[in-house]
Formats: sequence, structure tokens, C-alpha cells
Amino acid sequence: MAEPKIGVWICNCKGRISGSLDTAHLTQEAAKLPNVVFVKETDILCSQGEMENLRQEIGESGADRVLFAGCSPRTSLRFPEEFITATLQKTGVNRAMYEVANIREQCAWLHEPGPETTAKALDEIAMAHARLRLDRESLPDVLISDKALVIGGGPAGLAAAKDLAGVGKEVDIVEKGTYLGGRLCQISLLFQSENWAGKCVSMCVGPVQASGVVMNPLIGVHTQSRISHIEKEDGNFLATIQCAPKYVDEDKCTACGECARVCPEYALSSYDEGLFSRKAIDKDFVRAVPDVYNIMDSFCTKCGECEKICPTQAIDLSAKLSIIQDTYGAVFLGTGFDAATVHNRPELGYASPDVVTGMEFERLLEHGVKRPSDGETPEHIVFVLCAGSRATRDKEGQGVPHCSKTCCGITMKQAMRVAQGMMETEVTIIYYYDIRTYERTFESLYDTVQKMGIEFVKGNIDAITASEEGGLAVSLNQLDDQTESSGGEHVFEDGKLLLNADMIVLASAQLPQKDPDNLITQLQLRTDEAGFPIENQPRIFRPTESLVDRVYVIGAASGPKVVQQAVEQGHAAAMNVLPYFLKGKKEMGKFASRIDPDYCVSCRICETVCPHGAIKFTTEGMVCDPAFCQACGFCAAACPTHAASLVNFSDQQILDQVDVAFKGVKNGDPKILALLCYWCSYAAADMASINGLKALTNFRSIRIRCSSSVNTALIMEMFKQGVDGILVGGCPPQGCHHINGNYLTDKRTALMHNLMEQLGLSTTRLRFDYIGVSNYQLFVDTIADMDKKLRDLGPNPAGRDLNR
Amino acid sequence: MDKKITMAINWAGACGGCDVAILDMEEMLFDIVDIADIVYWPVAMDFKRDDLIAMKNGSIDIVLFNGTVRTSEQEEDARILRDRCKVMIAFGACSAFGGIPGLANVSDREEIFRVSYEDTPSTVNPDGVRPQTSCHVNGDTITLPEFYDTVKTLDQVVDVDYYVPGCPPTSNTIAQAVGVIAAYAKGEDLPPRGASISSPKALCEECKRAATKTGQRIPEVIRPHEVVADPDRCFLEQGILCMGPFTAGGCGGNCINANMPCRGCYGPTSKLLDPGAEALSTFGSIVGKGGEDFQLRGQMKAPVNNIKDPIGSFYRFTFPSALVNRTVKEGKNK
Ligand code: SF4
Ligand code: SF4
Ligand code: SF4
Ligand code: SF4
Repeated sequence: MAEPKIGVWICNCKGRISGSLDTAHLTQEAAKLPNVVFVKETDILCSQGEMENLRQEIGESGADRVLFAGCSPRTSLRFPEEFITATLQKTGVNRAMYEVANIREQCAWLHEPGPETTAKALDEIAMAHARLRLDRESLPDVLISDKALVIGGGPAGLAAAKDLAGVGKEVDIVEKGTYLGGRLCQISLLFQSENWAGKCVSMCVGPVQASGVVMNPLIGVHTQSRISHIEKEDGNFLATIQCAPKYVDEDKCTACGECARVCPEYALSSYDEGLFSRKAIDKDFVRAVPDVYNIMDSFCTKCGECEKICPTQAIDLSAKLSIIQDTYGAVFLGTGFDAATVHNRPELGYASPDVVTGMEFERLLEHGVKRPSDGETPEHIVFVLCAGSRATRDKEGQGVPHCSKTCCGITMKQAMRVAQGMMETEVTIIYYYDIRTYERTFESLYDTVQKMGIEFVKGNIDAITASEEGGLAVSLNQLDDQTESSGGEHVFEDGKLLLNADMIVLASAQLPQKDPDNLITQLQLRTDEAGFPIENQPRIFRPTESLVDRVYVIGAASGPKVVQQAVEQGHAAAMNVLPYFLKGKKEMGKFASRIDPDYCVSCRICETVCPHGAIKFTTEGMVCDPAFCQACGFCAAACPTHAASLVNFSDQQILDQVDVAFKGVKNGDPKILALLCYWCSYAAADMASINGLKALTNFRSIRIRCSSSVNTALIMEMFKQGVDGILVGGCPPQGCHHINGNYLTDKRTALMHNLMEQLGLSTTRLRFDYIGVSNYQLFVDTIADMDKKLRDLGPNPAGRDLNR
Repeated sequence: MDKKITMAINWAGACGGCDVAILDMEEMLFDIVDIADIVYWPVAMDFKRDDLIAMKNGSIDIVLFNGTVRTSEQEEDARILRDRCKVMIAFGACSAFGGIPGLANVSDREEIFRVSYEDTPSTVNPDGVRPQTSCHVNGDTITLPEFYDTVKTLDQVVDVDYYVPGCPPTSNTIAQAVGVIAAYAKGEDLPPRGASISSPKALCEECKRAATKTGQRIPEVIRPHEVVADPDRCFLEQGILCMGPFTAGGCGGNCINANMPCRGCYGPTSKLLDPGAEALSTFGSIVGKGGEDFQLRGQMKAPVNNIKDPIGSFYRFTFPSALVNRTVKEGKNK
């Protein structure tokens, strides 16, 4: 490799830096650093004029990499890294070939003016120089397919597909059911909008949404299909779709229904939640799209009756399943929700046919509400809220901890429909602590229902059992001092209440849909405890995107939603992917993991820790796909052979910095190194001075990719090099950009403390703290506290020659 | 045939297993004797130190040096041998990285003498006599080598050309070392100086169990004595800490085959800075069931705190060559 040519621009910020330290001295000293071909002190580097000069000076000096000394690349509002990379782009210097010495926020502003502050600034320049010398150009752009894969043909997926096709991009929709529209089609009366108490009927909007998709030639619709295999390859997703045999020719079928009339076999479909049957060849409902009769394989005996009767010869029972393989640039996971919590909660009585879930009740409302057990009209329907949701406090472990958000509103709607349409039927709603009918629509429904005189009882379900009179009995435990139902007709006695009912509707929890094809594992997504895929952190920057690049989790697959919100998410996700689709490529950042096959032993540890699913195991060895890598450095810190390393954040770059970091610290002063995570803790150190705090000058900071990006062995090496104390700062709990880097470091620090204790090295010398952006006071206090304790301790005994 | 080369074998701070390993080579021993005259091997043949001292500098072609350097005498031996030889081979884990005797670096001379000469219940030493480097008896001065505070590896005392790892080196490894010696005898190309007679890759690469790795976390650490390990699955997969991923291969996985996890006697692979701290980093990353967001801090750290005795577990054969290679004492005034 050719010798680097380094240009150095030192900004005095028109006195805001040079007021506290000697920038002329820095300029003089920077010129002495190896490989420096150009040095200049500027007044306001971020100004347009200076940017023009920069371009010219880079050209004239022949510099192939750039060192800026000035404001923080993380928090500066005028010269942040986004601005720097954009500027470099115009000068012909590769976007990775720059480093910034933060001599403003973490130096000139943070310390009292004087020679120690200048000395620290000089060290910071030397550290930036050490990084820069070993920087390498960013990887080439990765080509991204502009075709999308939508898994799940519900309202969210259809919305995304429609948008992408709208800008001319191809989409494949893979739907496991027989029709498009998902749960939307099962709910006849929809809330039109959160902010408008009007209703909409799915009979109308369902086919409109679905037809728009089916008619679009850019969208491939695959019903009764599944993803049998999906993996990441060269920045894209390689998927195999398995489609059910096309027994009925779409072109010939006129949907006359002759086939269903003669079909002798009955089938249960998910459309009616298994409560009502259809024929093995049938349409689930008359308005289902695609408008073709379909065969449910598991119920069809291939008797051939339908084939014989079809007036257009549309049916071919010998059709075989087909396989599609394609490469996609994005995956939209819109697999919807499941309502399974009630199944493993015997006390909810779901085993009785007259106890149904909210979704089942939707279907009963459509078909006419009759008791499933005997077909009689129920006289008393009891709705039970939070059936499996909000399992916290005394209910821990008996369901999911979250509020399913939609069920209160849905229950109000269902109760209202019963009260309006079934004059003889009494309605009771049992709620747990409170009713959560948020915003306008839900709250107005709640209001209506209360005004209608529907009874509300606050209580905790003890058991739902068969009553002696033949119906159902609900026994309740009192929750607080409320002892009466809303109308006063039911009263708790000794904390107990027994209600009779002849039908019960459970507002079952919204859970992630079952995943028989292991898509979560195949896509290497991380999930929360309930099983919902975790979104990229911070959520506000890339909403709907999972931790895996370009895998969007939309609709109820990402958490409880009403239809409209699901649709909104579909649209949002489509917008998120557009920049990639329009450019057809992904520009690679400065940092990426690389695996050296000469050392890798395929132990799969990097794969285990990678939060972004960037590493896969193949029989030819481990492969890191840089287009998915978000450069958290977990792999490098966990790899037992150092085969995995980060480009532009190498062990050598870290250690070289440590080597030059403390030249300006007086002998006898503790040398404190702060390894600060890229986003939170480093910004906290900047925010300290921005908020007028001062700190001691004897600490140096290194901006690390994540608190978990530094191998413990490097920390040991730093002690060996003579650093007296090390602070590792990570994001606050639940704030790590890579889910658990902060926790991993917390754990590794605990383990390191065990070793240090054995070695006789004080554990005061290594500290991990959760330091969020707003915890700048904590940062300053921590440095001061470490300084004090390290002074008491004396110099690091492991930093000396240990061979006595 | 060409003129035979000359060879010396020396035993320093070690258990003697390395010498036994050489004797264990059976017929292969004749291969050595075919190409080399053994000019010094105090444990097996009748040589005295004076014979060695009398030799000319550079007169021995190859030295196999086993054992750590724990006393001044061993250090002197090492220096004399270095002067007398052309190629110095650190033979066995002790001389290469410190070995089991290197674990003594958790202690120091004072503590070792106090325990051995005073504290042990079977010691009767009312005058508190301890070994001295010299003492006067009936007008004569008797000397003893100095017992160091710290166990050293051979390369901390003299330059080392090659390393033959293992505790003890397996016969296969010794055969490879003999190959190097033969190449030297024939004047053929030699491995680069500083090379180790082991695999450049970690043991997992050659481990039969590697195929059973799944890429899952280790929910909890199980210590080998707590279970009978599944004889086919990777130890790490079973929650049993194995040093295989950190340790150079080449041993043939004898321990693994005996259903014991690797303890690291072939030393760290070449890119590692420090076997123990590396192991902490790896195990600290994959131990614990995950989902830390939903755990209390103590609960979250429990699985790693379950890793007892990091020095003994992760530096079993390498402590004297670790970054921090002995216990230290904090305190300004020391
Ligand atoms: S929305 Fe209502 S019924 Fe559903 S979990 Fe939340 S509080 Fe319970
Ligand atoms: S952790 Fe390291 S050695 Fe193990 S598979 Fe990954 S790159 Fe290879
Ligand atoms: S740096 Fe992080 S995101 Fe990239 S491969 Fe390694 S663990 Fe995965
Ligand atoms: S960790 Fe141990 S048992 Fe597992 S593959 Fe490596 S050497 Fe074999």
C-alpha cells in the first residue's frame, strides 16, 4: 500500500477554540507527525468559503486523507459527520478517509484554558492521526434488487405492495390463506379512523384494496403459498416460494360455484375461525379476492366431481405445486396476529364451545349470534377484557405482559352491536382495573355503550366453568374497593362474585402469528419476550424496520394494531425502502466487519452475537455480508480467534491511539481512558461542555462503535500499556442501538472484575456505566470520582515490568 | 550421509513429563539418533553441567529446553545453552508459555516459602529456617540457586527460535519437531523463526464435535465435574467451557476424545493478545440466555459470575506469558 498522505485542518472556531488553547502550537506540532503533507489553521472551517478552500487545498496538496481538528463529529450542529462525508464526496477523497480530533466539545470547552488543555488537544490530534494512518477506503456500493417480497397479504402488506408498484417496482405477495385482505375481511364493521368515529364495512373496502393489488401487473399474488426458504445473499434476500397447485385455472373460472355445489367434502377455514364450514372447493366468502374458487388440499379427496361439473373446464386435479425462486431487495413481514393465549389458560374456560374469542365473535356477529353448543340465541353475553393480556403483577406468567390495545375498543363495538340488534340479550363487560378506549373513536363507543346501560363489572377472573343450570358461571375476585357493578345489580361479597352467562367472549391478546416456516430464525430477527420482532433502535429514525436491514415488520406482526394503523405502517415501510429501490444500490459506510478465513474456525460465535443478522454459517465457512453489517463490533469482541474484525476500527487502530493518548498527562496524574459508545456516551461527554460543565484534563476518550465493540483483551493490553483507569460508557438500559451491547459489556466487566480481583488489580480501575446523552453530569462526576480513587490507589501496578 | 548434527535436551522447572514424552517416542527416537548426536541430556545420560560449560559457543545445533525458568540456576542453564546452540527450541507448554508450574505466579517467593517451610502442619521448623542463596557451614560457604518471585517462560530469558507446545507435546507434534530438526540437518528450509509446531488455526477446526455447533447462546455455565458430558456434542454447546476456540490445534484433540474439554495446553493461536482476557470477552458475550431487557441487573450477570476462577480456567498453561503475567499488589508505597 502506498504511504498515506495526510492533510490536517485545525479550526480555531474564530476564538471559541483558540481562546482556550494554543492552536498555533497545534499547527506547528501537527506538521511533525508522520505522513502529514499539509497543515493549516482555519477560522471557521464549516463556512462555505473554507469548504471551497478545502477542496482546492486537498487537490493541491495531494492529500488522500483528511484530519480535522475542531468540533465534535457527533454533536456539532454545523460540522457533523454527515456533513463531512458529503463534503469529502465532492473533493474526491473517499468518504471513509477522514478522522476528527474533537478539540472543542471535549477539550477547549470542557477544560480551563491553559497548557494542559493544549497538551490534551495535541494528544487528541495524535490519536486521530493514529486512526487515520490505518484507515481504509469504504467498501464498494452493493447492488440492491428493486423487487420486494411481501409476506402476508393483509392490509399492511397490500398497502406496501400498492405503493411500490405505484412507482414501478415489482412485488411478490406470499399469502398462506386463500384470499387477500387478511383479518380485515373477517371484521365486517371496521373503525374508519382513530380520529373519526365513522365506520366502514370490510365488504366494501376489502375487495377495493385487494383488487387494486390483483389487477396490478407488477404485483405477483401467491395465495395458499409459503416461504420455504429465505436467506441473505450479497446484500439481498434469496427466497424460495412454494405455491399450492393451481387446481383451478384463473382464466377459465367464472366463479359460478357449480363445483362447490357438487363437492361432497366439507372444510374448515381460518376465515370463519373454524366455526363454520365451507366445501373443499369453494370461495371463503363471496367477495374474496382473487375471484377464483380454490381447493383446500387437506380436505379434498380428489373424487373428481368438481372437475366433471365445471362448465368451463377450469379444474385440473392433477396440478402440481410450483416453486418460485427470486432475489429481493427488501422483505415486508406482515404476517399478522394470533390470539392463542386463551388456549393454555384453563381458568378462562375456552374449552367450552360457548366461550369464544373476540375474532370468533366477529364471525358470529356476521352469521347471526347463536350459542355454538346448541344454536339457541344467548340470553346473557359476558365480555371478558384483558383475557391473556396485561399479565403483570399478580398475573405474571399467565399470558403476555402487554396491553393488546385494540380489544377494549373492539369489545365496545361488539357489545353495542349486540345491544342494538339483539333486544332480548343482556350484556355484561368484565374489565380488569381499567378500560382503555383511547382517542376519539374508541372513547365515543365506550360512551355510547355506557349510555345504553350496558353493565360493567370490575374484577379478576378466577374461573369460568359450566354452571349447575347448564350455562356458564364466571367467578370473579374483587380487585379493589369497588364492590358493585355499574348498575348496581351485581355486588361482590367477601371479595367474590358469581355471574351466570350463556355465552362468553374473551378479548384475547394479540400475539405474533405462529411461524411454521421459521422466518424469524431464517431472517435472523431478534424478538421481544412475546415474540414480536424488535425494531431498529432508535425507533424514530427507521420506523417499521427490524434490526435486520431492509426487513420491515408491518401491521400486527410488529404489535397490536387496528386495521388503519396496519395500513399506515405498510405505506411507511414502502417509503423507507424507496431510496434503495430508486438507486438500486446501498452505499457502504466507513465501518464493516470482515472475517479472515485463514483464522476463522466456524465456531459460529459471531453469528450468535450479531444483532443484525449479518453473519451466516455456510459449509464453506462463515460469511459476513457487509450490506447487513451495522458495524457494532460485537463479532470482533466475541471472536475467539480474532478472525472477525472491523474495517476502520481495528484492534491496531485502538491500541495505536492508546499509545499516544497520554503524552500530555503529567506524571503522577492518573491516566484515565474513556471508551465511549458511538451514539450515547460519546455525545454525553460532548454535552457536558455544551451545558457549561467542566471536567479534569487527565482523561482521553475514544469513540468506540458500541460499548460492546472492544474485546476485553484490548482492555487488558491497555492496562499493560500503563493506563490507570478505564471507563466504558454504553447506552442506557433499553437504549442500545444494537439491542444488548450495553448489557454484554456490563457482563464482561463483571467477569473482568473477577479476573482483576484474582490478579490483585483493583476493580476501581475498570468501570462500566450506562451513560445516555442526557447523563452528561454523570459522565463528569464519574471521571472525577475515578480520578480521586485512582489517586488514592496510586499508579497501575500491571503497567510496569512484571517480571520480578 | 552428512555429518550428524548435535543436540542437547534440558530439563528446567517442569514435572519431567516432557522428557518422558521424548522417551515415549519409541522407534522414532532412533530417527533422532540417526541424524543427531545427543551431547547433553542430564536426565537420561551421564552429562554434567561442567561438560556443557566446556563446550564451545555455537557448537550445539539444537537445544530442546523443557520447563519454566523458576530459579537462577535454570536461568543460567538457559543462557549457557543459548550461547552454545544455534537453534533454541522451547519444548513443552512450561517452557513455551509457563505451563502448570506457571500458575505459581498467583503467589510469590515469600508466600511459597512461608507455606512450605512454616505453615504446613507436617513441617517442624522451630527456627524458621528457609532456603538461602548462600550460608556458612563450618567455615565453608554453601550456595543454592535463587528461587525467583515469578515463574518465567524461556523466551522471557533468552531468544527462542521455535516452540513445541503441549503438556506434554504429543508424539505427533514431536515427530513434526523432529522433521524440523531433520530439515535443519539437511540444510533445508526451516519454518520462520518464532514459529510454533502447531496448527495456525484453533483446535475447533480439527475437532470432531465442531459439526454440532448451532450458533446458540450458552444459557448457563456448567462445570465439567457437574455432569457427564455428551460424548459427541461440542462442549460449549453443552455449557461446558472449552478452550478449544482459543487454543492452537495440532494436538489431535486428545482431551476432547477423552470427553474432557480443551484446557489450552497448546497455547493461544497467533493473533490473540492474551488467552484469558480473550476468553472472558467471548464467554462474556455468549453466556446468559439473552433477553437482558427483561432481567434485573444481578440476574443478568449471574451466569457470568458463575465462571469461577478465571485464572485457573483460562490461563491454566499460559499465565506467565499472559499480558498481566502474575498477581500484583496495589498501593502507592510498594
Ligand atoms: S386494550 Fe383493553 S382489553 Fe385489551 S389488553 Fe388493553 S386494557 Fe385489556
Ligand atoms: S467468531 Fe471468529 S472464529 Fe468463530 S466463526 Fe466467527 S469469525 Fe470465525
Ligand atoms: S459488526 Fe456487528 S453487525 Fe457487523 S457482523 Fe459484526 S456483530 Fe454483526
Ligand atoms: S469448543 Fe471445544 S468441543 Fe467445541 S468444537 Fe471447539 S474444541 Fe471442540
